[in-house]
Amino acid sequence: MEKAMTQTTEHGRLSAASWTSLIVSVGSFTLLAISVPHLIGDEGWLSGETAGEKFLFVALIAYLGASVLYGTSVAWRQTDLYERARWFACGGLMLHTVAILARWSSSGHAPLSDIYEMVLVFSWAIVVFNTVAEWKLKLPALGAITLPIAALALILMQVLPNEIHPLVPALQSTWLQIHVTLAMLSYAGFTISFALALLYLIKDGVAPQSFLGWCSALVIGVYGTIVATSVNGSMALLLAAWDPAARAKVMVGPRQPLMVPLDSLGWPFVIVLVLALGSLILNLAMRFSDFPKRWEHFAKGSFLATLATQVAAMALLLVKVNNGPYYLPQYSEGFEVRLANSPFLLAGVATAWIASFAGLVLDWKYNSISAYLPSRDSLDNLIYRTVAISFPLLTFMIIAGAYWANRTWGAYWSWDPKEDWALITWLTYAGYLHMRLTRGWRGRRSAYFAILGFGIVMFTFFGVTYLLPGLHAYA
Amino acid sequence: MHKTEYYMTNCHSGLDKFLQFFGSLRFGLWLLGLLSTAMILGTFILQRPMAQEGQIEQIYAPQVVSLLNALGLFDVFHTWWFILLLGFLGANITLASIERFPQVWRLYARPHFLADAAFIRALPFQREIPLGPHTPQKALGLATIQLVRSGCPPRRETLLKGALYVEKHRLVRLAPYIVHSSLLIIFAGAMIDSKRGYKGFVSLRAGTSTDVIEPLTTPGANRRLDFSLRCDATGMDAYSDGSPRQYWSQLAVLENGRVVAQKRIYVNDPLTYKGVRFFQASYTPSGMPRKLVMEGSWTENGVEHRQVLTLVPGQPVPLGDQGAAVALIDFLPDFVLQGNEISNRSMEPRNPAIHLQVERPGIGVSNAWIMPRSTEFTPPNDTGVSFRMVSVEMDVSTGLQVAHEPGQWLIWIGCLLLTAGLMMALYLSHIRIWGIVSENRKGQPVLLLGGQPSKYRESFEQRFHELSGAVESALATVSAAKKENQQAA
Repeated sequence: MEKAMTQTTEHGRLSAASWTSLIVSVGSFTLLAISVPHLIGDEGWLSGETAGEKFLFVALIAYLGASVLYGTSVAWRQTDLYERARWFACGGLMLHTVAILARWSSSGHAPLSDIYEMVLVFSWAIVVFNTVAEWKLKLPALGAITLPIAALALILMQVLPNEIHPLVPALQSTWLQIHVTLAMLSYAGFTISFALALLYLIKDGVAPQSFLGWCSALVIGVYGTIVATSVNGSMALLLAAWDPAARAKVMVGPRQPLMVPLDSLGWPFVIVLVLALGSLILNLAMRFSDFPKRWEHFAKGSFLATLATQVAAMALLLVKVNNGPYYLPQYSEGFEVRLANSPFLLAGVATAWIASFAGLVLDWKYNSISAYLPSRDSLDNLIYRTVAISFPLLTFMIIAGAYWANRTWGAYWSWDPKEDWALITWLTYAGYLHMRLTRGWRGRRSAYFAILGFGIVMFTFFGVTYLLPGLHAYA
Repeated sequence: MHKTEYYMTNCHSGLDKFLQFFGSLRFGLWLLGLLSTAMILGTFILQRPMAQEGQIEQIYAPQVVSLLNALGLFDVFHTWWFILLLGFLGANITLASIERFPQVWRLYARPHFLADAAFIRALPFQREIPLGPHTPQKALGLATIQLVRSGCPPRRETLLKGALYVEKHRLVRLAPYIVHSSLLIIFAGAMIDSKRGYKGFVSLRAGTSTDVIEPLTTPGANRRLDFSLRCDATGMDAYSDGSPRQYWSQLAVLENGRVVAQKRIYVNDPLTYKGVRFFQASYTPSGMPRKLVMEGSWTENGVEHRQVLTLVPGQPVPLGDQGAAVALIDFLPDFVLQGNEISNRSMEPRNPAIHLQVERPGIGVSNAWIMPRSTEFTPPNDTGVSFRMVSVEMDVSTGLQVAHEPGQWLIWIGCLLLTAGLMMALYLSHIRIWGIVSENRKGQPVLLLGGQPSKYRESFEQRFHELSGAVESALATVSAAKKENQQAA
């Protein structure tokens, strides 16, 4: 009887840590149980050209679990959860490595030749750097930012076209491998400096409301771009047509995909945009008014409403995309659409989603998270050191690219958009290093610079590929 | 006299001020910002060198076009103001380096070997180590042995003067100047290339030669080489799915009619002759044969005739001795039949269909189709001659990009220096440790160690802590052993 009593009290006192690890484990196993039969399919686990994809999917589940565990361990200051998060991250990393090797062996060349393979290596490098940072620097909070980024990259890869293509003649060069490896390593390094900069700002006492304001600004940026580029006058969302047989976009001209309007799908995106705008305005009103308490309630409420509509918009998008094919009168034919055609849209939506959620958690558990972080000075110093390590890598990447271009096209510099943006990134971080080393910039300004630099890196990586034309068409 | 002197110095300071501003970090950062902004504009606005004919006028409104044209924003990277900004950046780097270099050079060339106690006590990291029973010389000797063991040998000359001096990576002090001068070298290389170098294009059909290079950009003149280039063959290797695996051209360089160089070039592997490089850029099969060799056989008055015909499009060849002629009318290199439609799949002679016409004086024209690789059916032939294909050489042309970049060696030297300089500047730290025998506050003799890094204080702090700890325990262990000895005695 007494024994039973103690058991119930223990049960009743199940800590947040135990609950989270229970939920994460059950969630991961459920996801695995649902997906594994699908993954095995008719082909079997290891057959097919894209066997690595299956490992990658399991790695994604591990990364998602690790993200939740890292997040809760930081927010509730649970050291034992942190250990479990590391196990999830390491397990995911191993599967990720297997996925890379599998793709390498089935394609016969290092997986560095198209955007899918680059994201594969980029996300891998992020997790590797995170593991190294944890091991060398004892920085438990870093994973709470880097692992969600890695998970986001793997989500994006679920929809990116992943066929293995033989290497076109221009890419058959050792310099391809050097150039792309350096690029991915430096981009991953800058990602770590971005994560550290966020941690610095939290530790430095930037108010959680400011983070919520930034999240709203990010949501406005993402949904604004979507509304401006994809929603037409009749509130239909334009998605590129997809040919399931060829597993490719339907093109009507060079670099001109055929667009299919999905009726009334534009509305949810416009509503999210309006709500995010409102939330940002309320946020600013709260911070600049004389009675912030009066506004706080509205600001937070509108932020929550924005997150809810974002989820709803995503769900509607998924439903609509799967309901195709859609009939186009001008071609008198029906066309399928896939999210694979708009990786930029999907990545943006998922980024806004995760950022908003992270913002809420931060707002909720701000003091606890801030107390868990290492000192400001050491974070500030680490931001500089990661930039100082990544900047030479970026430089060598540009040099290797120039040398390769000179061997292939007879010109080491052609002012092609990808080159220009790599140089803009270089100039930005060169400015950062001068500010830091010569002017002695420390603290917030330095952290803001690291965040700006990361934004430019991401535009160089994805924005140039999807938004600007150029020589780097294959990447 | 007084007045002139005053005037002179004033004038001097005006120039000085200007130079100071021009070489200042603030101006440099402004330039970085302006260059970045210009480049961002250059990637978002369609650039003329990348646009197709008339594309700009189609996309932008006429007023916008004239405005952007006037600002040079349709060719940002070649406008005078962009070049000027780059020139300013070069000047900024040069002036900044000149201004700061002497100070750093003094630090580099004449390091401060001998320190006194006041100097060491002002250093960011220091430690007092008790000498124990050792004499100062003995203690310095023991410390030296320990430092050598830890991989930080002190300088010998200073040791003779009774002081420890450990130093690593002094060259790091010069690294920023290495980086900045490497950028200037790269600028110089790019300048030489833009003045003295050229880019062009050569299109050659297999079997022909030329010494003229066409310009890459529309307004530009042809350029004549002092040698000529011949293309002996060109082709494409394909993967099993038909996508291109490699393009190649067999090239020969001729001077005064003599072959002086030969190379089969590939994408990524050009031919270089007299500083001019030829790159495989494109490959265009015309789909027609350059030389088609057929064998015709027919019976005339009971006698069997056989004749080998070398056919070229547009040039009829005599057949037999009765004045007849054969002409190549059409050639499909890779035909496929879909119902009654005949169509062509590729430009490679995988499954050719040859249309020949025989014209006999007084009799008229008759036609023959020959499909040498197809066994499915017999193609129509009313010429009375049966043809057999002996060989076919396809008419293909290769597109070669030509580049002459006399400044590229400067560029690569600059890049190597940049690589080395950046690694030194950002991965290494100039560390110095001084040590002398001095007294602590109580007046007891101590070994005073002090150190200073040029950067990365945290890792140096750890290093310094380990080193000084090792020295301390070295002095302590030996002194403990001595004490034991004394007690035993």
